[in-house]
Amino acid sequence: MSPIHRSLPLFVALALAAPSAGAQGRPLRVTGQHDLTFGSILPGVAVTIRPTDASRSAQLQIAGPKLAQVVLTFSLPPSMTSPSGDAMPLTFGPTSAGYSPTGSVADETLFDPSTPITVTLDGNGRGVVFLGATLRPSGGQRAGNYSASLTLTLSPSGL
Amino acid sequence: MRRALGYAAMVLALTAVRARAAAAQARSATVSVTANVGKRALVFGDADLAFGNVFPGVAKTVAPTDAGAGRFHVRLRPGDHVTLVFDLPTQLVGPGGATLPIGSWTGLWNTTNSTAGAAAFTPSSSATTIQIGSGGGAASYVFVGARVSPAATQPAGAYTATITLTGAYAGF
Repeated sequence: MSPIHRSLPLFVALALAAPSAGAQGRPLRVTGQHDLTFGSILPGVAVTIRPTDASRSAQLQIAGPKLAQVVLTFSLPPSMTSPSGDAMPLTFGPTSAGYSPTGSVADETLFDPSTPITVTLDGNGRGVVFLGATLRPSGGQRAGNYSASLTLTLSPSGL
Repeated sequence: MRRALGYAAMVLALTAVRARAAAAQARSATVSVTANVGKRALVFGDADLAFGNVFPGVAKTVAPTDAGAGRFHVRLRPGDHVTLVFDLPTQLVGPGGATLPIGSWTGLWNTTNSTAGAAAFTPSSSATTIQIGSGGGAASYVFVGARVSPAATQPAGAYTATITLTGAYAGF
C-alpha cells in the first residue's frame, strides 16, 4: 500500500470527528458573577436568602452550545468558618437554587442544589444559576467574618 | 485484513476524540458565601406592651408614645451602633387557646428615655434591621406599639404573647 493509502484511515477519522466537535458548538463554560452575601447577622437569628434575591444570592453564568442540556452539580459546604476556626451551620433546601435561561430572577425554576439537575441553555447558549441558603448562627456564635466556598460543576447531559 | 484494521483504527480514533471532547467540556466555577457575625448587644426589656381592656369587635391601638407602649433599652458605649432584629408575634393567646390577632407594629428609638424627638421605625418580624446609636450616652431606648383586633365573638380573658428584641453591635 502506498503512503497515501496507509494514512487514509486516520484522515477519515479526523474528518468524521471534526463535524462532531463542531456540533458541540462552543465549549461549556461557567463563571461566578456574584457571591452569596449574608452581610451583617446577629447571633441566634437565622437568616435565609432566597435564590430570587437578586442582590444577595450567588449567581453563576453558564455558556455553551445553543439549547444544550447540561447537568449542574453543586459542591456545598455544611458550614462557614471564621479565621479562628469557628463554624456556623449553613443549610440548603428544596428551593434554595434557581435556574433561569434568561438570567432574570423573575423566571427562575427552583431546585434543590443538593441533587444534580439537568437544565437546557437558551437559544443563545446561555443560562444563569442562582443560589441561596439558610444560615443558622447559634446564640453564642462568636463575632467575626465567616466564609465558605460553593462550587458548581457542569457536564454535558447524557455522558 | 489490512482494511479491517484500518476501520478499527478509525473507530478507536473517533472514540478517543469524543472522549477527550467530553472530558474537556466538564467545567466548574467557585463563588464564596460570606457573613459577618456581630457581637451580641445587651438588650433589656423595661416595660410590657399593655393594651388594657379591649372589647369584642373593637380594635385597639397602642402607639409608641402611649403609656402602654413596650419599652426596651440597649446598653451602649459612646460611639456604638447596634443593629436590632425583632421577633414579633402575630397573635396573643388567651383562655382555652383562643387567639387575638396583633399587628400594625410601630416603633420609636431615642438616646434618652423619652419619646420626645425620637426617631420612627417599623418593627418587623421579617428580619428587618434598624441601626441605633448611643448619641454619646450609655444606652438607647426603644418604644414599641401595635394594634389588636378582637373578633366580635372573642372569648373573654387575659391574652399574652412575647416580643423578642435581639441586638448586635454594628461596625464589627
